[in-house]
Amino acid sequence: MPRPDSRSAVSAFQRWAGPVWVWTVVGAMVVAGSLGVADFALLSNFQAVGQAAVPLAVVAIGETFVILTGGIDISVAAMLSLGNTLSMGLMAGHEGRVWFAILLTVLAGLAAGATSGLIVAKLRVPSFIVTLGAANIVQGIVFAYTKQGTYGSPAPSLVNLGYANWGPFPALVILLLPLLAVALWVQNRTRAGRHVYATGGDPAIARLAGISVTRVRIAAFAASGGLAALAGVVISMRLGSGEPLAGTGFDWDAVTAVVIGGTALRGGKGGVGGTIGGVLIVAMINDFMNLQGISTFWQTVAKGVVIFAAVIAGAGTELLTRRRRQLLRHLPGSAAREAPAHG
Amino acid sequence: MASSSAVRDWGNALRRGGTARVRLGQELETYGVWFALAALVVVSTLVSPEFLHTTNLLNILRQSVPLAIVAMGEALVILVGGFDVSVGNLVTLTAVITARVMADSNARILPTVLLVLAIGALVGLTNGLLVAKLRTDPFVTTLAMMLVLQGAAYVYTQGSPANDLTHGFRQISVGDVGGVPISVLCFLGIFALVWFVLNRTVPGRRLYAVGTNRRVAHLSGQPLTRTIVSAYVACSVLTVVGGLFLVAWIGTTDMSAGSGWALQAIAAALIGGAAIGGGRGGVGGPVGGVLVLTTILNLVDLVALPNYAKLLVEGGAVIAGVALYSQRRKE
Repeated sequence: MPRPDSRSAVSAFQRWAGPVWVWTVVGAMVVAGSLGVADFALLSNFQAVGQAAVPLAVVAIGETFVILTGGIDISVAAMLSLGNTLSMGLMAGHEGRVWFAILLTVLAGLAAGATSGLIVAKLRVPSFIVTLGAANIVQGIVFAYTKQGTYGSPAPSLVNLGYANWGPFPALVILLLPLLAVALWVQNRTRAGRHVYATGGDPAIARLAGISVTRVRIAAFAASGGLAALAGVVISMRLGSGEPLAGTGFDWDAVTAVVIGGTALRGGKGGVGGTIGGVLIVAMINDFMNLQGISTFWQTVAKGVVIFAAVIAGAGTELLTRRRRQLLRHLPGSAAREAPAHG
Repeated sequence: MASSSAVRDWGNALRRGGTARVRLGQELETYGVWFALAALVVVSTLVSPEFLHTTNLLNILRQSVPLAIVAMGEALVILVGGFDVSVGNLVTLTAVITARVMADSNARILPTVLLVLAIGALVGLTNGLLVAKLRTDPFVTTLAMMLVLQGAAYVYTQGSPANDLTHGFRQISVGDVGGVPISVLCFLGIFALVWFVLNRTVPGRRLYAVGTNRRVAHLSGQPLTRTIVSAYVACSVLTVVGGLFLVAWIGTTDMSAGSGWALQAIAAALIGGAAIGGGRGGVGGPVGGVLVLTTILNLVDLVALPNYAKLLVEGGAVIAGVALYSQRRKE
């Protein structure tokens, strides 16, 4: 095989599936888990991991787009709680209201996300401040709506979907596939997707190229809000009710999955494929620890350590590249970084 | 000495620099928060007759002290162009460790305080070295630290924190000297110390130099790593101090003692004139920002709104406050 071909095959893989090393880690974890953790290599366990990972995957796909534009969305946890309680409140156990409830819920999430995006893009407020504030507001609304208690119930047909398997595959995973396909298609095959990368890469240049950076940012936050609300519907299939704090922890888990999946926080680099790898890594860490009977307390510590490891690994490789360029150019700092490296 | 005066000259030049309009803008950045506070006091007085009672005002001050100390630390990190989202969970960890290690014994106050301060220094050192040496993203780095600290607090307490504070220790937040809360006096001392170091010493001015332009600071021979690391260590140590005042104030500990503090501290710093990216602001503005936030939340209490209204008001106030300042800075 001539070299250019193999290189383009790798770059195509990275564009659709994310960095090779993320999937190497996923593969290594599967092998290590099968060898070292009792009850890991069972079909039922793989199904359980898949089912547990889907709500996080839905949230993290939206988060990926926000981070690609150079922002961050901390309000996804509250948005998920909103989606969970609102959809269950609207549905209230009625089969006929399923689509109506899901539609309204996703619209509410879109609207709330778009509002955050509007403030970020128009008023130039740092996105994590806006979304942390929005998280407070949305959570307050959820508490007011639910009177701080369990609220509503899913339609009978949804109740067991969260734990059902279609053939060997979890139902939720199969339902996720169309969403994932659309996200990947938007990311790689549409003008909107290219605008997202351009905005995150360098907003000033994107603006000069005629891209409405404002619109791109608003759209990304709207997508994140809508998907987080949708994840709230998904999680109700597992919880069987609306819980005002259903989303707790999803904010940091989503950011973790995106960052482990190779999407750069400064924007413009990465994608949904890697995020799915990141989600699987987070889900498998939880699964390992559950199977070993390790308390959720230690799981939090483990997640922190994993992010540290990912951050250090990422920074280490970047530092090496930078050092090499500095050696080549006999220049410290940014001048070398801005120019493309040769050799 | 030569380098010290060079840095000072540079600091002065920075302050003198720019047109009168820019300077006015910078002044507003620092003083605007005090105008906002004054306006808020007027509004609060009109809305609730109880607001101006001495007990209520002293309560606001007492409540503000822990967060104000944390916000000063956060402002230092933001000043060097960094960020620390782990402060909330460091407050919680400080609270639960203090409440157990003290074990109802006055003799153990000092060792306990030294222990938590050492933990704080270690946390700050880790954050700072990663950010400065490896150039990791401050947000993700401190996010990872946040999860580690949160997990550590849960592992340490198994979810049910002890409450073995001594009466003597609690005096730092609940006691009075001639009608003035001890915590406020302590705070004034801490504030004076931090203000002096920041404004009148070389290491303090270096924070501005590094935050304003890292590359220029590096080329003019300022030690980047040491400066950035010291900002993170100062932030974490101040956060621990804030945590000590908090646990002495509330008396009991629970696992959510510091929840929401990262947002509040960062918002207070930004409202008080700090700018993400660094190089701007001081430690006075953030204290004003904390007083604004505490006063708003106090007002929510006074007019007896339901508990969740606090979330709405806090979120709205933070977004509005920071948005206002971002607007001013654009001009």
